[in-house]
Amino acid sequence: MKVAIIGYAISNLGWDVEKTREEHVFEVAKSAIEDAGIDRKDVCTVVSASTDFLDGRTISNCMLIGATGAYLKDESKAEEDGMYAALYAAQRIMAGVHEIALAVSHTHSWIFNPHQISHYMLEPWFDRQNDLLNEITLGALQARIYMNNYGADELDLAEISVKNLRNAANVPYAFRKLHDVTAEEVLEAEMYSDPLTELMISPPCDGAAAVVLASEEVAKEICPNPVWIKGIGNACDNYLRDRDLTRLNSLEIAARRAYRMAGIEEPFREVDVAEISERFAHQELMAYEALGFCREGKGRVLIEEGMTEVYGDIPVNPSGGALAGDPICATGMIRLIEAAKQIRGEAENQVEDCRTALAHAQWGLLAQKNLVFILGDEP
Amino acid sequence: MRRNVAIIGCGQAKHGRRTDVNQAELVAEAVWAAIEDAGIAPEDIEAYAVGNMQGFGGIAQPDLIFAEYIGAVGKPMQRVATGGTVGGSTAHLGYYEVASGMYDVVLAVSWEKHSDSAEPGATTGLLHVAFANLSYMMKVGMDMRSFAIMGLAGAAAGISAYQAAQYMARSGCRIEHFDMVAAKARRNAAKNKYAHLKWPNCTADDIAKTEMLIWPMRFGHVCPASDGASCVIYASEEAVKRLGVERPVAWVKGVAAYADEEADQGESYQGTAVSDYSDQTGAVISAIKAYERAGIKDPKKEIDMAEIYAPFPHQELMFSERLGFFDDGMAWKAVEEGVTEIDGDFPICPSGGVNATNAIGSSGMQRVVEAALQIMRKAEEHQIPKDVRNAVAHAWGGQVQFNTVMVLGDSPKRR
Amino acid sequence: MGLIKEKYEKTMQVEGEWNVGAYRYKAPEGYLDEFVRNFKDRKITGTLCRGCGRVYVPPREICARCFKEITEKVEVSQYGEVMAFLVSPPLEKGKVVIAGIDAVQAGFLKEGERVILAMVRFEGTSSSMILPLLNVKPEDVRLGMRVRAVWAEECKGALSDLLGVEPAFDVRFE
Repeated sequence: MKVAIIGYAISNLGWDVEKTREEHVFEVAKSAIEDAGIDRKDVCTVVSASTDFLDGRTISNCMLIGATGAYLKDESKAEEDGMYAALYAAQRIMAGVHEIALAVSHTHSWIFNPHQISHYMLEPWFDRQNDLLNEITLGALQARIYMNNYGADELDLAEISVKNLRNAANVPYAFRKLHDVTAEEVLEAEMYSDPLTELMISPPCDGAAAVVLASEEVAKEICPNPVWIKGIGNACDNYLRDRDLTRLNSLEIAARRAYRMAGIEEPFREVDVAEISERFAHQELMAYEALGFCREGKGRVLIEEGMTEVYGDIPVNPSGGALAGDPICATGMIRLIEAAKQIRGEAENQVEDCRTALAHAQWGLLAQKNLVFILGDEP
Repeated sequence: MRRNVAIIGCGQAKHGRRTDVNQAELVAEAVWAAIEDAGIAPEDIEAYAVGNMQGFGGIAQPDLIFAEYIGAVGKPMQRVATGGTVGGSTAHLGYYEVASGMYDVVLAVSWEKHSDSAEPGATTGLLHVAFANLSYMMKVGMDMRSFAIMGLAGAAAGISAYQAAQYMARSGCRIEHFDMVAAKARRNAAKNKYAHLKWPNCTADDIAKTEMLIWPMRFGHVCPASDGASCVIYASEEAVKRLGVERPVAWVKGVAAYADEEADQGESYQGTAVSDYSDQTGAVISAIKAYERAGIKDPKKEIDMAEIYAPFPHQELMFSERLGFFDDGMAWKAVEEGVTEIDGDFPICPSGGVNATNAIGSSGMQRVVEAALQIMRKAEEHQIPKDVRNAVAHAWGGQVQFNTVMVLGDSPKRR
Repeated sequence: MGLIKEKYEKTMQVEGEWNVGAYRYKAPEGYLDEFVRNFKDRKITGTLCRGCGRVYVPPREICARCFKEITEKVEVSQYGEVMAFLVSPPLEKGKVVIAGIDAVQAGFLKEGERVILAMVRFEGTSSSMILPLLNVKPEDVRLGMRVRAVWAEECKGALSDLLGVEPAFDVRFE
């Protein structure tokens, strides 16, 4: 059964927003439902995404039932990125049990330092005993291994940041907008962990997002411009000590599955735009390779040639990506929404003649789990 | 047309205080038992559904650490966490993964390891439900006496005690009936090799002799904090044929999980409009919807047994009414008559239930496992003597607000 | 079965810490503040949902049933009814330990006292509050009993001004 995105909402991303968790979630849930042109009573099922750690509460969804509109609805919570909530919501529709589903995600990074949580995600028997390991130091480790293997340098990483942050300057809700940032400025920004500077790391922030999904029958009836989910690929990799850190194996598997489902044979030609969740600048280079946009190790060529700019052959992250604002659980869902906006022709940095879009979400340390959606303008 | 989905294999780890394994090994124990039970190869599994409450065991996203232990590397894995219902929610996720048509064989596992926490795991985890609210209340001038009183109520599993009082007023049952239910749970658990609190031949009088923790709850009424893991393997109808599964399987006929508003207090100490905790609108609607999806018209006649998520004995009585097995206020009479015993007309929790074994994440899934085992007639010592055609697995959680209901049957047909 | 280890009785123990003291929760400005501020005048304030007419005490921002924001505030009655209650056994030292402090030893709770906690629904509201039930013996508490708010001698606009509730036998309805 086909599933379509019929409505969405993204909140303003910010640090220490003047809103409670409840108000923030209520805002996006309500506007997504309004955007879809339906009422809460039409929604059959609600899937939320948040994690207990980031929220500082056990059962973090239990007090948000009113705000997400899940009161007396078939409800569940995915404890990972919002795109997984969208996936679960889509599965509920595909199973033929429900017709219209709402997926909501939020994170307030202000509540608890997300990089400390990445420390708790390490296995406690050996790795956590080493106090130096957290997401940033691990990211630097991965960047160093990647650069060493494939000959990319700091400048390539800086160029990724420059592209994304300049794109973000046009996006009204983005958190980090730098209109005329240069590669030198990125390299001279505060060094967090060599080779990663502040501007190469996604800034955790507060934010929320929501999408409304519907079955084929309903979408055709109520929505003038539905965006269709054509392919889904999902894969999980080994724990970080047991895998090859130079490449994103699970993303490669996930992308291959999604392409097969959507009938895509040559991603570089057939995908018009890609929205990627990159926690660090170098992960975007790795994603180019894993998504099949170029051969292994050649990711830097794409950025050097400007092919992934908004006007390029294969625009990547015209919304600015996660480098422009990273509300942990909502990041992937925002990518999904941005990809849908490109297809609808509503994006701020609109790619011309966009018919097939790719959205990607990652979860776990150094993108252990990856999820890829292929969206299209017809079923 | 909905796809038919079957449970082809079940696995459980031995529940209890497991100091002999770590979290990864505990989960692997259940997973490999299920794979063996289903008689398939690990490569046959196409996707995973996992769930636990990470606050209790002290590892964030533990499933990522031991993906390799359960054979999930390179495969899709989705995770849910919904409080007490997490086991039930994971079971639902696994069902939807197959029913959506995306995968044919899916493994769903959920677990909890309380004993890793140096403080009593359950209280640390549960306190954090209200921790934000308590901090806020301190800020607007709550005194230490009130704080201590709050803690006092929390220690006796807070809202459940109010729920018990409300249920007693609503139905006219007495504490003696709670003793009977708790004694039944201990007795049944003695026949279940995976259970935690076993007490062969336990009687209501034995439970009545235990200390009154906080009225109306006795020490003997309260569930233990166990370590454990439970796992089921789902397969679509085509896959059941393709894999050549010949032994009886349990078919999933309907699932529903309708959420109610939180009870007691909302976000930032706001009021909520749930003032009768024994009302459980969510459970009633979940049951109605699940029966509708399963094609069951009269649950009293068509359903043969139920595994109810009841950490406290009054909940077994309350939910057996809410789920439509008995009329309102009649469940305690059925208990008096022995209807809910293993050999009774409507056995409830023949495995001993959550009252005898509570490993938060695992508990909801264990209900599904036990209901499936009864249908497959593989429950060994606690197999109920009468025929089981339809069984219900229920889970409850959140701030007494989430309910998951799954109807299992011996044939995929919906009438 | 695959991974069951029969060789060892126990695992190795690795110590670790789980720092949960560093959260910065967000709470709504205005709602509870006003509720608590009005305690100074011995008033209980709730919010009224325009969609369904439910009154929430303590005040609530969003009505789950109507999926609407609530803006209107109302004062509610000091009288209410007991929806449910629980009774603690006589308190002893070492029984109630909260955040590492023995509440009895520190004098927050008296030794030997029996605390009764009641879920109270104030007249005309749809929600309940959990408050200590004072000036009554545990045997005499009944569900549905009418109670009245008990205030501190001197109210200063803090949550602790509302000490609890006590039986209100003087209420009559005509």
